[in-house]
Amino acid sequence: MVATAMQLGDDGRVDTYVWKTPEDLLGPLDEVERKHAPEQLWIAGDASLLTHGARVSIVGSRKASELGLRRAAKLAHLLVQRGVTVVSGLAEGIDAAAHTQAILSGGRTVAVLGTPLDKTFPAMHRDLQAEIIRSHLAVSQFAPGSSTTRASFPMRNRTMALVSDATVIIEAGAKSGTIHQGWEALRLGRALYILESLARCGFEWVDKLRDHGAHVLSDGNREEFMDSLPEESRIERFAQSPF
Amino acid sequence: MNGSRSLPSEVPFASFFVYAPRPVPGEGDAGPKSRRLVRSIKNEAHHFSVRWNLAEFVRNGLSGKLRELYLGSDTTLVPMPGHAPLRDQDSRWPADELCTEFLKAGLGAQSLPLIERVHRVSKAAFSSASERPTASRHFESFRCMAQIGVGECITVVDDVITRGATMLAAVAALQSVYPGASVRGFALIRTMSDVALQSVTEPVEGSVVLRGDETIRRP
Repeated sequence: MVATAMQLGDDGRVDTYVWKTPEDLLGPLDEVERKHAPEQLWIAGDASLLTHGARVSIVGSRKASELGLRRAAKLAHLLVQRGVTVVSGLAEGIDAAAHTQAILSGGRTVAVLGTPLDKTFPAMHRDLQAEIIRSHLAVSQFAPGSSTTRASFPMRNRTMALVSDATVIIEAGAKSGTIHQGWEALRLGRALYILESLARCGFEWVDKLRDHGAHVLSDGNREEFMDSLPEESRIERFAQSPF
Repeated sequence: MNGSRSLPSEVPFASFFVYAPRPVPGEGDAGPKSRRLVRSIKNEAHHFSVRWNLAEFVRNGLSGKLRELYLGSDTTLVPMPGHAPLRDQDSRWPADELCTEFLKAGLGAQSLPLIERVHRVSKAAFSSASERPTASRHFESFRCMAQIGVGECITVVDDVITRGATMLAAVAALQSVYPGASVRGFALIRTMSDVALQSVTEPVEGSVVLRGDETIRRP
């Protein structure tokens, strides 16, 4: 186990900041992974969530439908039952549903922030972020005190794809930032899944992602999806001889 | 474009490791090892290969005959494309990484990505039996490039072979463009379902046979 890398002060705010390189946390990166990887990751919470076990991103629209929120929560619950860490971006909608259900189901969750660790966006998720830092893990590629721009969130999505073994898009519109994560997951050679209900919506971007390797996730192939997930992290796989 | 749409009735292949996709009673530690091996190849082929000297392990574990036939010093290695077209030219994929590592270990003469996937096909692991792409479907989704200097011995290299439909189609695609060449398939890992593995290392030579729309891998 890696010790908790950051502590909360009495007022619930982060009072120390620690950063590590992506390779410290994830193991060696290849040249494709290094292309968009941040130079450093500021971390708050239990860093072992990046060094142990499997991680799956659940992502999607901020303005999600009730059904979409339920689907995100259901998937988070199923992943927790398999011992998989749920990764998301602390945004409204699908992200918050995934983090919250992972916590409620007794699992682990990682929030990859589009802001520095000393800020919360949206502000309504301040308690959720504090709980994640206290008992799970929050990660940001942006140094404390730095400003947040529109470009920060697509950058965050690329990082989320990097730290995840697979990404599942639950629900998203034609211009969702989630699409950035989909393309980055494919570029990295990570598995990308689009929920069947979204695949039926007729979005051009969904068809393009499918043409380049995204899978449709349905009730019918959910077990195959679960079976395809790694049981251990890259660092753990590297440590054991395969022969 | 591929020159001919006809598929061969049989193509030769060799493989090195075996893999049990699901736990089987009595499998000991070979089954879990085989699954870890596949996950490592699928997720981080380059670093994993370097960390464990994988290509050297293969070179030393193959018989001289298999090494010369499939990965000989005059053989052009062709990485099997993935199940969907690449969007970014800088992307790497497991078979491409394996070819690179094989060359470093003195296996093969050169690696050329002569086959390109131009249409996606369903990934067999996520498809029902009736939806799994046939060899014909794979063949139609490939574009094989004609290039000078390829030589007379060509081996398609893939990470995992299951039924062999992809392998048969890739060999057929290369045979259609390089009719004078001897084209074979090499898979690092052979899937063995419902078998209690005793070891992950089991080099074999066999064939993929076409029966109607189905392919049968032997062994």
